[in-house]
Amino acid sequence: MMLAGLTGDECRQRLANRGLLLKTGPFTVRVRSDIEGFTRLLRQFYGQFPVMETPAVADFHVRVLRPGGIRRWWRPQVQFLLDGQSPFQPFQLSHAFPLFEWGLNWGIAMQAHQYLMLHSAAVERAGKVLILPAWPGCGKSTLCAALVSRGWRLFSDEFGLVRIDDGQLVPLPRPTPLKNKSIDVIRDFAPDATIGPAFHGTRKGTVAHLQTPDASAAQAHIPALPGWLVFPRYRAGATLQLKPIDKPQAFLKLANNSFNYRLLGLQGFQAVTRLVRQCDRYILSYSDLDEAIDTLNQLADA
Amino acid sequence: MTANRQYGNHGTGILLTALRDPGRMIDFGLDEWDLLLRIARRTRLLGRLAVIMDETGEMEQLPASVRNQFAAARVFVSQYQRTARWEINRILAALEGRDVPLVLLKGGAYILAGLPPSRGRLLSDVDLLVPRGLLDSFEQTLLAHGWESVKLEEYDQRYYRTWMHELPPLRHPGRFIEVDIHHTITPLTSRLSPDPEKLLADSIPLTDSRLRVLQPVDMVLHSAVHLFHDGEFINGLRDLVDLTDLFQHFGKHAGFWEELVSRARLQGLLRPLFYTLRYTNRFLDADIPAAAMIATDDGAPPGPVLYLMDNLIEAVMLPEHPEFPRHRRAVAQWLLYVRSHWLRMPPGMLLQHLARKKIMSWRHRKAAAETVA
Amino acid sequence: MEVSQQAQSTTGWKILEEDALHWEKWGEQYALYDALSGETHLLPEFSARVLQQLSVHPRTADVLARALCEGSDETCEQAFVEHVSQLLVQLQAAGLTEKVQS
Repeated sequence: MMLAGLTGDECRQRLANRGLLLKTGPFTVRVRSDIEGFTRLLRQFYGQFPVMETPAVADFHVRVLRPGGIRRWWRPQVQFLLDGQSPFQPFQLSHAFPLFEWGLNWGIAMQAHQYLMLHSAAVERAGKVLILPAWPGCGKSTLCAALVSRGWRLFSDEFGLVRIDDGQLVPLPRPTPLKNKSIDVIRDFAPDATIGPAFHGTRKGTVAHLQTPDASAAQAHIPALPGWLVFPRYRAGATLQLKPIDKPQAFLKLANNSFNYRLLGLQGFQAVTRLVRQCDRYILSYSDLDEAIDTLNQLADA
Repeated sequence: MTANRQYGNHGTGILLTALRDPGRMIDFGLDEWDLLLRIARRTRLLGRLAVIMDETGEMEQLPASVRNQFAAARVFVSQYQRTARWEINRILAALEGRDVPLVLLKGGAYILAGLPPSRGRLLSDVDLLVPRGLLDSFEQTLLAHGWESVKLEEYDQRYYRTWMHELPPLRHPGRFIEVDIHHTITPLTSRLSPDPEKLLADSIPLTDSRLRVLQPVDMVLHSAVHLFHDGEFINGLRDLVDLTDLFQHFGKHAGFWEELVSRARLQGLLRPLFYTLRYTNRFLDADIPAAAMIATDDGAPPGPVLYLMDNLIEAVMLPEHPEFPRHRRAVAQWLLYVRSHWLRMPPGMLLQHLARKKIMSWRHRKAAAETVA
Repeated sequence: MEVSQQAQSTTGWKILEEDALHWEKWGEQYALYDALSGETHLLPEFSARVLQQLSVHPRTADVLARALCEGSDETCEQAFVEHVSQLLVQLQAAGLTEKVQS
């Protein structure tokens, strides 16, 4: 059963009672909330993803709720609880959905150490995954959104989840948060893409979410091996350049890009060295999105 | 016996069942797992359940979602234990072969001595017992090798050095674990004053003879004193689990129980031993001979105090259901915290200290103070 | 502690535990994961060879330097021995080597 298969009332009822069991990638999230605006966006952005029936073992127990007291009426707020505890300050009520997305990311990064977790976008084409690690000013989300709108399968905008035992990447397709200028960039680049409401004044500026394509959602259970490691670097006016980098350099960058490299100890070392062995490695400097996509398509088709 | 007593809170029941009788985990349904994993994570016992499940060889029969969370928990266990072992290794390296008797306490001792409580044990500091006469030179050696004092506020420094049984914690920059150097096992001002010389004299060398651990009865008594007199019940259930393991491990040896009781009497530690036997047996089914129970009865507090302690300990040690937290837990924690200070300081000093803490909003290492101050 | 250069070159050195060291070789660069400390080190070939020599058995800087010179036409100069000594001290600080306690 997909979330879209539940009626609005059924969905609200589950959210208000024992929780809605939402499957996102390898994780099961038990979500509880009674906030109408949040419920609507959850149904919109996760409609193509499975809901599970109780009993089930959830990886994350999330509540998105309105704190009590005066804040119910005066400048109303919303709070994110993970397993009954609140890792963040409350947000303004209308930002419930981005709060949920960030909170879930935080929970995954803190807890899912059965994987090597890269802070990277990941997309797949022809059975191999392109990993785009985040680093300051890199334009990872924009590039990821653009690739997905040109037919690459979305694995994740935020997490490269690498299975420890076999080195496969595991998809975790979720709404892609576009920030500030990149909202319009993607609107222009992919006029057919579904982009949700803009949330102004978040700690990352204005954020709007790009819907996961149906095809990516439908294959969210299918992992794939890594093929390319591309460190993107956006600079206005830069000429496009795809520069190979050597293994030690890639290793260092990737280990530093991981949420849990140190924590994993030897497993982390083995997972990252294996990735460096398996992948072709590049730095991509670009300013024009079309050129960048062409280059990456050629790389994949070579 | 109250071992089979029912606890109103289902979450508590399921965790205690898993701890007492791990073999029963295999029959848990998905709903039970869902609750157990949450509660075990909160009480820092998830890693232990994971390691014990591994030992049973039946991990493969569990639902994938459970196995994944156990796998993640084992990653934490390995990291914490590796970090502690390395810290101990670096301390030995700093001593460069000098003959300082280094007695490991608690988590570090369990892990290096390979004792049963090390299974899945997390630890955030390495505790050492050092003869008082060598304390200064030992601290200077570590400082000279790059360790730094964690508490820099002058008041904190003075508090530790004047009243506590340990130096202000040290930490090496770039490493993520603290070193607590003790010269005795209860605060200097405490009404309990076991003789640290006896503890050191009877300690036992490990395979690496530069390291030592307390002899079994002292190991139990130290853990008991720490649990019931240090005021930090955050890991209370985990500490009771340690003690239950020690009882099961050492209790088989002839004479252990008699020696335990007489050592407690000699060191003036009958009260904490009484509590330990009572609550390990009550909550975790620890197998304690009736004779030992009776022999520690002298250590029991007056009836009304015991009644109060039973209630406070249950409220604090047993985890709450994550969706239905009880206010009484926070209250009980505060009362036990004040009690622990009462036990270690004269009353005038206590008020001074608690007020001081409030003013300075002292960032206590452990969350206990945070939640109540 | 002040140690004379002379004493330094007669000190025996060893690695802590060979089984704890995990290597990945890329041409003349090495990544080394030390399972004791949990640290990862990127090492040039020379440092890697020093560690590999020590894992055969403990040696002094003198002996080590001569072993490293073997097979090359260079004579083993004192300056090279000192270079090796310094490297050993650096590796000690990284938690990879230690002095043999007599």
